[in-house]
Amino acid sequence: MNTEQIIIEPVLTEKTNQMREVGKYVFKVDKRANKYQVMRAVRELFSVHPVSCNIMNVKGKPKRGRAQPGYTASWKKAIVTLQKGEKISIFEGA
Amino acid sequence: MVHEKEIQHLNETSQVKLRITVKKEDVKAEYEKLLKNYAKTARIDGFRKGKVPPSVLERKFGEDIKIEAAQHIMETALSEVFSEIEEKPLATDIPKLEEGSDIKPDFERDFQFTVTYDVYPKIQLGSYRGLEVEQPVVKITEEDEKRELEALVEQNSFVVEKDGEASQGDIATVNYWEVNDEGNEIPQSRRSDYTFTIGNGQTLFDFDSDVIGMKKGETRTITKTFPSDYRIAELAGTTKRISVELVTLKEKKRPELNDELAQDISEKYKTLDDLKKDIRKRLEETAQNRVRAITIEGLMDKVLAQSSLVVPQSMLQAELEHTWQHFLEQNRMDENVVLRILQAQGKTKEDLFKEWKPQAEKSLKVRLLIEEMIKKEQVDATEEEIDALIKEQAANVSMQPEELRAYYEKNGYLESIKHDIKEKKLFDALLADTKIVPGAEVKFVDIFKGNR
Repeated sequence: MNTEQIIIEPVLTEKTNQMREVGKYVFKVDKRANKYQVMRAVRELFSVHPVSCNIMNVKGKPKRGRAQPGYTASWKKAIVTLQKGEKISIFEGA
Repeated sequence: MVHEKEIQHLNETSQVKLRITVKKEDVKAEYEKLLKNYAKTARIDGFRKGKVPPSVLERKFGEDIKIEAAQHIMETALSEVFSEIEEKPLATDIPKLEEGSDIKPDFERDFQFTVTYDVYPKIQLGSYRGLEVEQPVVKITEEDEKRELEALVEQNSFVVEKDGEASQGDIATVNYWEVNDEGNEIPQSRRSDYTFTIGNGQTLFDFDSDVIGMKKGETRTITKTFPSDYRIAELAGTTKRISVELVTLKEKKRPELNDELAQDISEKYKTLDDLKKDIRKRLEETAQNRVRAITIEGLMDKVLAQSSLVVPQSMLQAELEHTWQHFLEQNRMDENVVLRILQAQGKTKEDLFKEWKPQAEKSLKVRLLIEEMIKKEQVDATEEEIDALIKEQAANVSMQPEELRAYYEKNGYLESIKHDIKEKKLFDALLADTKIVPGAEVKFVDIFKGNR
């Protein structure tokens, strides 16, 4: 798997906004990726030094309503902790 | 907020170019205020309502908010400047941003923008006193009087049933149908109760002359051969047999011209002579008013020739639109209908406007000049004069003066009444000071020619 394919997008919520202040960056990543691959990708893409990475699978939520019942897509969330004081500048204010 | 302003007059188009500079700190403050405002209400996925940090908003919509801030700043700055300076933009115009100007603020530099707008034109009034104006001479003749009387008689004529034979000018009601060679009625060719005036040539089969001499209840069968160039193509060159039945016959009775008629028309006339005198008086008044209008027109032409002013484009456009609305009203037609008619003639509204433009420009100029003269001469309308005019108008429409006045006040017409009085007073004064040269003798009917 290519580095470019691993990280899909940053996760932008109130919570991740706060986490960024302590050096934790949250991404939606490819479902097949593992912690090491994510850390490597972050290091290569943003030129920073990840210390650790936590990963979880977010399950799709059941949706019912007008159409046929089903689920939203499930995805993999990765929380990357950077070395103290490091920042990913392009996410500042994102 | 305005840091610097620079005003430049463009005299040849009666416009003003205004350059405004706003301090960069002010721009930034405005931008941040807007950002905060948006943050209060913004809804973005992942955040509760109102909890979106301004930094996120800035990243997502920063550029748009900058432009909006610029617009806010321009608006406030303009209204600030307009409240200070004398040359305000005309109501008919909106200040336009200079083309190609950069309205994206940059917090490093002071924000600067330029607008142009139409202003009330500068008027150089030529001399308007002691001019020489030609005035047409109108004489009311017997002929004019007769024509008026004739119209009155026509208005007062009445229609009565007539016994005996039909003749030219009578009003006949007929049933008619086509018959075949055996004299039988052709189905569905019958028309009943068709009323027409004999002799005006409006019947389908042109049987006017054939009806003459018929009596009420009589039926005649006539054979008509239509020439090949007959006005109705279907009938041209054919021969038809038509039966006509005269159902009713009426004639128009013209009243005799005598004292009785005069009394019928209005109680204030005792004799025919009274009526004649009154007609003459009315004609003379009309003629006088018209001659005055012509003289004023001539006078204004001269003043205009000596004055110089530029009519602002937006004013002209508004005037043209106004004329267009008036035109629609006059023809009682829908705008779309008129547009379609114009299209059929291969014209557009713009072409029409182009045609009207010289006239509109001139009348605008004249109005502006009159305005200027009123100002210069300090003509004013007093309360008494307004009252007098309203009283006069109230009498014409049979209303109470107070009622009419209240109506005017409610609809804001009082100003225009005032203006009318001022204008009248101005021209009274001017005409008294103008050398009037008797011009060519003109017939009464001719002075209304070319009347707009």
